Amino acid sequence: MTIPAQAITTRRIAKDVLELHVGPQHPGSGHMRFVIRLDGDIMVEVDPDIGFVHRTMEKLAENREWLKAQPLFERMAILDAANVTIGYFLALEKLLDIEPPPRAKYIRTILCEISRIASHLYGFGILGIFLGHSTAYMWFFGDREVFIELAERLTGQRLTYSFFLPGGVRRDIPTGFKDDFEKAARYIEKRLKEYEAIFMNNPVIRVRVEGVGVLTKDMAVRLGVVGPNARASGVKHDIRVEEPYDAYPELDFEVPVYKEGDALARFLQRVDEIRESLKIIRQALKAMPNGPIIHERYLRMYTKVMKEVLETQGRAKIPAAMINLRPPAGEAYARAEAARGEYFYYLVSNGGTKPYRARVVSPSFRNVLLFKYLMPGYRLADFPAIYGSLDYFPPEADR
Amino acid sequence: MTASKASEVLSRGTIRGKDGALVINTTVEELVNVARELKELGYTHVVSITAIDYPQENKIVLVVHASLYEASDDRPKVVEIRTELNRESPVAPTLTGVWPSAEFQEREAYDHFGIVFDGHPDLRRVLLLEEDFKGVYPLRKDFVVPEEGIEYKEGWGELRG
Repeated sequence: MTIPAQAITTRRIAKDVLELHVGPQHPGSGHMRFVIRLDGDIMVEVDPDIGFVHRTMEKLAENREWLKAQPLFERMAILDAANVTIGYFLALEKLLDIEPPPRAKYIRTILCEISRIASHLYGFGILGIFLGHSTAYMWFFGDREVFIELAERLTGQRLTYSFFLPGGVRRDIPTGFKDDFEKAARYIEKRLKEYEAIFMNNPVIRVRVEGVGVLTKDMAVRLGVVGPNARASGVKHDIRVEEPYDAYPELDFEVPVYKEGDALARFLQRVDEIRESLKIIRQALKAMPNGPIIHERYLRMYTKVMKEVLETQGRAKIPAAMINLRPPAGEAYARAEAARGEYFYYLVSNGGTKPYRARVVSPSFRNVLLFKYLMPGYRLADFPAIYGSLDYFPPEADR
Repeated sequence: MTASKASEVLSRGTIRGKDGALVINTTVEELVNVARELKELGYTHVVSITAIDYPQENKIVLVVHASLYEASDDRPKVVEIRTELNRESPVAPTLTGVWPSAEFQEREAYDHFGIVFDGHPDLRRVLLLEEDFKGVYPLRKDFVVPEEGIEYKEGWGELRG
């Protein structure tokens, strides 16, 4: 076998600076590479090389009917599938000029918050293993399972639910769901206290995250950082409040904010958000009105059999006309608050059965600037702690 | 003060009924000035920089979305700046000087549409590899995605000994 010439070229780098390549197959998360320049063990320059799991989803969406973009976009971050795709439907509904019925809005919100809790627990697990704390990793991933099961009970799927429809949802709340949720909520509330003892207040963890990777409010605003990372630096920005959608305007919840901006604050920020999510779901389950789960425009297209399935089993079938959906020509954007931050969708329709242009910006793609600007000045040993605390998810950034 | 700020923003474009975004149409020459004025009016960061390709009209429209954190007045939450570029050689001035958050967004627009951002500090492809996509910009309409299709050949379902 001959090695191609370009693979064995060398180049000169500055004296006393070590160029270190981390990834793309590093043990923590994989599918991302960093070129780090080190002076001693201090990082002086970090170049995030992303795109290892790029699928050009925006182009693929242009070749599919509107509804078929859902299973595609879901795969940006399957661990947070509901929050990832809700923005697409909000934008599509703006183009179609429809709004889902109130009950469907509540079901959407409930699923989004379940998804958020599961995603945060996943992020904690990754932070745990980055810090070499495998017990935390096992605990967080084990407890995440509770919320995955909860989502499965509601949607029939563990991760990739494809649960939304333009103007509705696929299933009604199953019987006994309220009790199931209450059980899960009480369990996780108890566990959050136990996490404090083994993880958050563990002196070995504390020294690795406290005062490490400090993101100032000013820098967060300048770099356009979103989600819990911005809120942990004192930027009180949450799309659920700024541009409320679905059932959020009717629910009462706080937006937790920290001002420290270090790795610990980013972690505690997510813990607080889990508590708020539990509060939101509790309220939503209580306040949920009765009624249809799908917009009447599509309900009118239902055959007798489809209606029967909807009424007896609470499952909404997809009417054939919905596959050939033709939103009127025009543009619309929508934003949604996912576990990692703001999702931005911008859809352009030319009146056809496929989007003319479907733009999506994910929170991880916006936060990737942090690797370049936040890391320098810290020690290489801090790299996993900062990376883990950012809850960065490569497939989401790459799209 | 805030009320006048809101009306000043609104005077620059038109509100789109569908989603409430303020749409500003501008030219390549005016783009940076518009961005700078918006930043002064509180639009701190870029949400998205992308483009839409119209091969029949021989143009690429550069679409920039800017937004603000913690807005308490009635300024539009999202501003959309649209700039028409020449499709043969799309060049636009960089906005990284105004909004540092534009850095990776502009790299992506360069990667997918081949738009050259004049003055960008580090204009390289970000998601695709130069070796595989030399001179090819996949989000332009003339790039066709090869679909594999579904194929059945005689004997595929049989068990092999």
